[in-house]
Amino acid sequence: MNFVAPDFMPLLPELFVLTLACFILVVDVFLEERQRHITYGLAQLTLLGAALLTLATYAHAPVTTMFGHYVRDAMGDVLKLCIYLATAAVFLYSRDYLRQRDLFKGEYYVLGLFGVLGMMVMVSAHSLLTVYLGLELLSLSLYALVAFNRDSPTASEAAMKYFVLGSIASGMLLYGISMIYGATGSVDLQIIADAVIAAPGTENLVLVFGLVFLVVGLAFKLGAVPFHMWVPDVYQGAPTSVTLYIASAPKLAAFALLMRVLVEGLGALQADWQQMLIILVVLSIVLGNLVAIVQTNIKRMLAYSTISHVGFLLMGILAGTPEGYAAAMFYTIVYVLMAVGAFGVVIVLSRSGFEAENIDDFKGLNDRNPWLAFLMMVIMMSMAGVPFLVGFYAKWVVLQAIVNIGLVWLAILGVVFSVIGAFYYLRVVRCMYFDRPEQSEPIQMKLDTEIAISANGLLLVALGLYPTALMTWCALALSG
Amino acid sequence: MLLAVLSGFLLAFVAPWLARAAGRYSGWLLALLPAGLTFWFASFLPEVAAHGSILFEYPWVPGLDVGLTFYLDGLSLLFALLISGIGTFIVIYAGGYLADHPDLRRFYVVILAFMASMLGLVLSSNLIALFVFWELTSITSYLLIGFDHEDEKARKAALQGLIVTVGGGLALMAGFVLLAMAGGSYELAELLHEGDAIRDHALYLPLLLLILFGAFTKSAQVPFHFWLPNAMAAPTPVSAYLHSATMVKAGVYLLARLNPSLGGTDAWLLLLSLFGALTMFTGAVMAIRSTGVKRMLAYSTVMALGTLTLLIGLGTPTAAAAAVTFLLAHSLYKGALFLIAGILDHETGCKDFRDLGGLRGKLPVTAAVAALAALSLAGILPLFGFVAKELLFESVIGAPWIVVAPVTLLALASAVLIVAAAAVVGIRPYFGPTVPTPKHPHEAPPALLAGPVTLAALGLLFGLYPALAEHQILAAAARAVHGAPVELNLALWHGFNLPLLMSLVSLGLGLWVFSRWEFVRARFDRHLEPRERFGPERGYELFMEGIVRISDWQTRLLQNGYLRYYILTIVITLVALTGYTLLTRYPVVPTPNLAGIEIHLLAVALMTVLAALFAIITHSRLGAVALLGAVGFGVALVFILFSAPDVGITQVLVETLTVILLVLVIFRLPGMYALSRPRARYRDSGVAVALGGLLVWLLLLIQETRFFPSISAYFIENSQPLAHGRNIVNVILVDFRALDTLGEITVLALAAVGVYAMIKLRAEDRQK
Repeated sequence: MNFVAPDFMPLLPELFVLTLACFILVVDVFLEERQRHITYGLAQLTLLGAALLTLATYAHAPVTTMFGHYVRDAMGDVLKLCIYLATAAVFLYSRDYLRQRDLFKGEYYVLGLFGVLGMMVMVSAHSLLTVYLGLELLSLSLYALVAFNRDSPTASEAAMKYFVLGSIASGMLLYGISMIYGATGSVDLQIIADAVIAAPGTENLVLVFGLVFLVVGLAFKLGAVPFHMWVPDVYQGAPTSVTLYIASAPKLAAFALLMRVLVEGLGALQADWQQMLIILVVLSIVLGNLVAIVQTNIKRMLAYSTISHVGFLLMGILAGTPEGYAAAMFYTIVYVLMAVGAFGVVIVLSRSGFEAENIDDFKGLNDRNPWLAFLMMVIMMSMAGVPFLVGFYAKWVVLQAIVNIGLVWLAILGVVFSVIGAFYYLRVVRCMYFDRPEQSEPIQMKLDTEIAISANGLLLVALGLYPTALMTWCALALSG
Repeated sequence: MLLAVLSGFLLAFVAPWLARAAGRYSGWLLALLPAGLTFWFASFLPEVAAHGSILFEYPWVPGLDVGLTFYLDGLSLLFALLISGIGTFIVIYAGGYLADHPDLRRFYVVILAFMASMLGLVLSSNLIALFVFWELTSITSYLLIGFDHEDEKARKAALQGLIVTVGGGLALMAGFVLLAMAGGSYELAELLHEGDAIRDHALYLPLLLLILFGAFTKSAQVPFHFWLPNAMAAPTPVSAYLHSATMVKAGVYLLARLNPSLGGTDAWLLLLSLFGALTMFTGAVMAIRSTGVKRMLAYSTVMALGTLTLLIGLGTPTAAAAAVTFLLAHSLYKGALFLIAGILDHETGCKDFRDLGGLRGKLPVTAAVAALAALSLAGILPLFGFVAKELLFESVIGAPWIVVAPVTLLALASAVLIVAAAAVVGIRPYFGPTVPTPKHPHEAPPALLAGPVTLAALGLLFGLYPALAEHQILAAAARAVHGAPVELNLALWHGFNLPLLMSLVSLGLGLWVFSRWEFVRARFDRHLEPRERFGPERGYELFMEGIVRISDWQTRLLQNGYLRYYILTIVITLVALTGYTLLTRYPVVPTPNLAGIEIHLLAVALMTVLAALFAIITHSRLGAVALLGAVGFGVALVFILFSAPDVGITQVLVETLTVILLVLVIFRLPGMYALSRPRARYRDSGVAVALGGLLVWLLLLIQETRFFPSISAYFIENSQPLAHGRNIVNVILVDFRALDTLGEITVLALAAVGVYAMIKLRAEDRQK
């Protein structure tokens, strides 16, 4: 039995993040409270370095390594770049929030980086084992991050619920993985894909049930109805900086996860998982939008809105066509951009001793900071799918993919509920522009935060006016 | 063309600064753009009259089939002229009307954005672009109705208008998608020639219904008419512009535009003419019942929209001619009347006809203009309204036999009521005894008068020289609506015929109704008021309440914050989904293969099951933990019996640790109570049994599956040559799976440290 060392070059970004995260963990111990910004800077540098390394080793053609457990391809690289970008924005927006609450600790950034590593592993996973590894690395970081503010009972409760439910979901996922392993004899996605095509009827039974458990586990991690109950509780209970993190980059990884497991591994069972996804999509879109209407807490409202966006994401994937996958990828990237922006504004509005958690806290924002109000309006309208903003095209391409495979009723349902959804986004806009402010002091931001949040909002407009570039990028990444 | 459409948006962006710089004359300055656009559009008149249509193309998002193509023919040009022309006067008017309003500059932004969206709507050839502009008009309308945002009623009305029109817009979008599937293109310019293919398509009826739903909500047709009168909470220039002259006509525009593609079927004829006639009559009845100035005008607008829908539905050449003529006439006189309503409010502070009277001395110009516009509304010689009314009567008499009786009757009845309403509008505030008003009235400034005077004068001009309007624009517009050239023959005097007789009858009866207005109103009120509880507005309210209730109910049911219910939901969903698949796909009852199961294995299984059962029913927490441990040891025994000693050992160690940890924690907890009620326990046991049963069933089903060959052969063969060990289990543990073992040891060590820390903490606690 000869051991051949695998090619480590494709793993360079991951190794870099891992090393730096450990390094920061150690460095942080030796830093004083007022030097904490060094940790922050190092975390940002890590993301920058990872981005440069990813670009330098950009995979034009897919490369597998680690005995088939790991793959570098264009889709993975594009998603990773988006993950770095989203996380960098998250770190930036959170900085002042954390500082005002005495939460400006190195652990936030280290756990955040470990989460990023988990996402990278998920994105590049080429076997069910690496999928699970990445998912758990991310999940464990997230559980800890939710409970990060140890003095907050709501945060602890949210973390506990998240942990218990997450463990159940992981259990189901593992159960599904073991069944699929049982039926195909491998965890390598490529081998599974070949075996599934060749599988006779009886083995198909095992496969289908493995698939059910797998989909349930994935649906939980995504927060699709009826496995969504953790989402609102966690979004509300966690510190806003953590909510921002959970709501953004992990969705990119989740998209990759679905692509890897369902499309690359179990693509031959498309007829089966399409049915399951349709149920999830219908429930998520209906429930997410309806329930968001009565929420008065903006974090909770955005949680339900996430659920409905997940519905749209799944809709693109269930189309089962390259066009649908590209649409779903476009949707995910756009969603993350909007979520980062929306929670970013929520964070900016919070001050020490005051959480901008209720929609009422947005009242009269236009009088207090017109530019921020404008950006929030752009973000809300984009989420609602108002034309000329990128959110509209994201919905449009997904719906088109669905219509093209003949699921017109699902597309109509999607449109109906996204308009019902527009109602609650516009309520925020109405609060900002039509209502009198309850507090009068103007809102101030650090310059870098202001630049980032402005770029974030304006990007939605720019992509809305010219969505072709991103769309082409997504289509290219998936085809190559 | 692109610039013409987008210029409104561009100006909207800089309007606040321009308005600040221009001060009192901001309205006049900003009106230069719509005025310029009007002349620019007018320059296309000859070309459109000669060639019929012009197409402008700009690529936008090529990958998505969304292009910015603009289609200019008689119909869109007529609308574009109305939008920019009336827009000019509205902006001027607003400059005077809202001169002292703190939010005037915001008003300019929204109204200019609205104008641009409306132009985009009527000029777009691409369905998607059309839809985009359609929704933009709804949103700007929302902002304008709610302009007075401190007023709760205005906000409510704004939201109502938004929900109804956007809801319709949605259906429209779905309809467009189907239309594009049926017609093979998203371009109106192409769809207009695909009429036969679309009408024969299987999706024709659904797409027709969806598009009609969109158009009806936007154009306030019965039963969606209720939002329009409520929208009168908007400032008067907005009511005049959006809710009379332009936006509400978007639905009518769409119907007229799609008439060549969709029209000509029985469904089209019946749906449009009956809904249109019903709306027409409802609008007329409600108009005569109203006493508020703007409310009456709003309902008469509903009546006009119904008339237009009816005319488009009839589908005859005369009806097409009548539709475009009526459209132009209505925009002219209704725009003028709304603006006058604003002047009355501005000068006297009154919004109700009952508080107004004898103003002709104080407001001579206003009174004269109001008279002209009201005459046109009533359809009296020699105004343009008369021409339109004659054509209307001619069309309903010549309607297809299937609808001729109801539409003629309803048209005549509506005409009677509208004559009466016109008399109220034109006579009541200016004649009779002077009524004291909160403000001291004097003639309005030029900014307020410019619009009504011009619009009323145009009504008179077109009335005297109808050929002018016909040759310039109406002929081309009628051709666009009908899809083929139409002979208009507009004239004031056609000789003594049936339409003229109907006109005279409606005039006489209308004046009689006017003379007994109070009496008629009281009669209507008595009969209609008790029924209003069941009206469409109530339906809207019930719908909105329903959504909130569903949302609330869901929150209590699913999002109650209790972890146990979350788990319950997940488990139930899993069992239901998997169970359903099992039953439908593999309806085989598994037969357990019991051969080869030895007695000691059965004993272990029995012990495990018993331990689990006792763990459930025991009342001692310690006992429960110990029994759970026993279950774990049972499983470990099974592993060992099936020759997986390493897994078994790990399991034993983990179980031991878990039990110790649990015991340590348990001492810190309060005593064990019955936390759940018996009913909850039965439910929980049901769910647990369901999940367990499902898994057992599943396992039995897949028991038959032949897995790939066992790996034990490999270990047996290679343990000595490769690892130099005879004890295979040892070799596996320390050699083949050395890394696994290392990991397990580490986990155990970490857990042990945890246990040690807990014990120590407890010991320290004791000492204290």
